[in-house]
Amino acid sequence: MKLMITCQEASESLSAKMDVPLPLAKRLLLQTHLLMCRKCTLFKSQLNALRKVFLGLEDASSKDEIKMPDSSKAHIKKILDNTDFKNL
Amino acid sequence: MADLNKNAEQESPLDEISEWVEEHGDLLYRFARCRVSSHELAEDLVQITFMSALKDWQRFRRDSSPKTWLVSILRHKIIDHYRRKKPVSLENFPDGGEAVTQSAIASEEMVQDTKSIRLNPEEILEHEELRQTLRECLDDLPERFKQVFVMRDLENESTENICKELDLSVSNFSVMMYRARLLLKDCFLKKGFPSLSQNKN
Repeated sequence: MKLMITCQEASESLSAKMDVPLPLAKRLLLQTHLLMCRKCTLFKSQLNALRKVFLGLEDASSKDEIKMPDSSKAHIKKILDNTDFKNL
Repeated sequence: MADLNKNAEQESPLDEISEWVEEHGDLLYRFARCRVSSHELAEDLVQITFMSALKDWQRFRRDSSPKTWLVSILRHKIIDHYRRKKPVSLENFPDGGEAVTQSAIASEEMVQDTKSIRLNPEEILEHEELRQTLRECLDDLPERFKQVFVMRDLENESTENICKELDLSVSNFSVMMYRARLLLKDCFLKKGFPSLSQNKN
């Protein structure tokens, strides 16, 4: 049985762990690696921060001025007006 | 009840839906824009959403708000769009496959990058400029990665549901999420996030 994993394998496991439960053997290998590797521990905190920041992005973005151009709204209304909705 | 159905059949929904274009158009556009890579496609999807609303008008139940109903239609239209865009196979990935593979190969270097920033989520979200940078980095992702990432890390959708909705295997999903996260991290590094690089965790 493999006793050590590389940083790349550890980083893959760190990402996968955020989405699916890892098998026990993989979890143990990852924990052992993290005890010895400062960089992968930093990567883990970056992944967590990345997740947190994107989870909050949509709410935070509601303050931003991202608007549909008026011309596009007018275009949609025109198409709706010209649609025979009973025959859709 | 019969009268209500009769009224619903006779009444034209056009006026109300036209009002919704004004009322909810920006929100729908913002929702779509976060999930697809171009302004034009976001506009098309919003347009298709309103057409569907018109078509399915009779099925609209007033127990949910028009906004909720429209967002739910749009969400399905976006998923349909990505389903049509198959292939899912990473080997045949059309947009950026090579770059993504290279990025994954280089991931060990990225993990080892001593210039790695310490992200502070609260501080990032407070600044409009940084929020814009986040959206730009998201836009730079290959479309399919973007969709998977948005469903998981923006909408907090379960892995099981995402795989079912997008017809993906869990292992393909995990690879796409891993690569998307590396690309986003790489993008942050390239764009600097200068005010955050000195943060102490």
